[in-house]
Amino acid sequence: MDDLRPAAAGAFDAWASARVPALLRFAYVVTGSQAEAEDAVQAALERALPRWDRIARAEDPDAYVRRMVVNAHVSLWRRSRRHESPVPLVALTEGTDPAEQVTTAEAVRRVCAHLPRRQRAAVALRFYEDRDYAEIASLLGCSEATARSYVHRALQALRRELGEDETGA
Amino acid sequence: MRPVHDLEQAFRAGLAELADEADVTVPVVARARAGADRRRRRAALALSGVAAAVLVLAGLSAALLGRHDDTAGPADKPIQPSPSVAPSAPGGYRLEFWHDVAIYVPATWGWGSAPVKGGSDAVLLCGGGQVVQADGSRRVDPGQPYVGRPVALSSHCDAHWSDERPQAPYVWLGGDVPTGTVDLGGGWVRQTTRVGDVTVSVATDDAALRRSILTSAHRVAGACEPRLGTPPAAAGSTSADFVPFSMTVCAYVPSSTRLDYDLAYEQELSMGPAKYLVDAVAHATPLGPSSCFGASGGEWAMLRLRGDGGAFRDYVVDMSCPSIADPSGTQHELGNETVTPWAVGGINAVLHGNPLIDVPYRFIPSGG
Repeated sequence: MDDLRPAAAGAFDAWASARVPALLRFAYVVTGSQAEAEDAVQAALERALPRWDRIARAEDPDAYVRRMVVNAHVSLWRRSRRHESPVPLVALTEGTDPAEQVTTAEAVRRVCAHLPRRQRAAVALRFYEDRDYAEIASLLGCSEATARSYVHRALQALRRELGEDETGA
Repeated sequence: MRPVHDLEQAFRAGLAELADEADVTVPVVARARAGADRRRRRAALALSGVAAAVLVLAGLSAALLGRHDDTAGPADKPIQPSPSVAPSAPGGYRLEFWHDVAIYVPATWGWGSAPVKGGSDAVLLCGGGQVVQADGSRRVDPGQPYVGRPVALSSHCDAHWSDERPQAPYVWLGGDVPTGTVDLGGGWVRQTTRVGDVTVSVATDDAALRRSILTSAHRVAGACEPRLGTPPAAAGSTSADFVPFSMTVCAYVPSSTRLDYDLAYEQELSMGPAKYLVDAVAHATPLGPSSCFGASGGEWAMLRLRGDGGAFRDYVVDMSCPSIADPSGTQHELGNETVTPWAVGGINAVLHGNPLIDVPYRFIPSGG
């Protein structure tokens, strides 16, 4: 494997300083864990670095690396998984007035904490990244119908978390 | 009831808030540079080692054959070197799955049986003490630690397993074992807990190891679906240019109701075995698009290969057929080349072989 040429290295550094913070935020939303977000971004950058010259020429580097973050998360998480829960849960009921209204943001957090990983990735891509279902399906390696189903079920879960059932009660 | 649009907006706002919690000051770029450097050095070393590896391969094979003379497998057939298994988890541990539960066990442990309820309601430990090794061979060695699943490795069963003091630590995943702690004497203790519907038993004389393994048990929803309502189907890229960088092996066995299939084993393999398999399937004798159509009630393996840009390819192995199907629907013969890339490690203690699969040291022998 060739070393990264100085021009490509400079281009990579410029891109990284501008875009890595956003990538880390995206990875944090996808993985729900600071450690896993760092691992996923690092793995993506490691793979991208040796071929940066081609990546920068051929396509949108942001999209390419984000795709690699999702792939790294889906395929490599077992090797680096720590003994921790994805996204720390907020104790909504312990020590608080049960009658206190659950805020919507907290409900989103709780729903995400319990979603299977691929479904959580689909939700992050849809609502954090505003990707369409075809893109989500391509990124997750599933059908478009499955991607829609992931998101639909997450919306149902959020509705339940907010205390609304499907019948509108 | 809120309109869907409101719920979508709630997700957008909530996820944006969550994203702001990320620490974006970590030196992840520097770490990536260091990692890329390490990869490049390893690749250079591997290339320079290929020539030497070729020279010693004959000697290595001879040594392996000699070692296997002591095992339960046939020793008169040549051994095909298995492609390497992906690195285990940090700290020398690996993940083991049963249904929707995973635990960490030391990476050097073998694979064996766990107690399971038989037809007469007696709970039996079946396998004659055999422990499956990383290369698929079996060894009867009471001193080897193992992780066992409720699968009979042979028809040799023991009904008096409950109070027996082992000579080496073990883990039982999904065994028909009551929860609680059993004093096995001499400092040995077997502790059983339940995670969801799955029991996890750890027997050892090392309390720290026992705690470490038991506390690692967690429910997961990973690359393999924990339960399938129907047999898996081959899917994904049919492109001749498809190049995988990893492979996930998902093994399924019929559930107790025999109406669906439970995840019995999962393993992540590296690029080497994945590329090897693609090449092997491409060159394997085709059996036709539906030679095994209608096969059911058997055991299955789904092999998910991932490539760049979100591309993937799912091969499906029907152990009762037996065949391996590619995404075009074509089924191919299962032989040395199409089995050895993925049938490594514990899957050989989970799936039963078929007289039509003539590959040494792979799977549980037919007829036990």
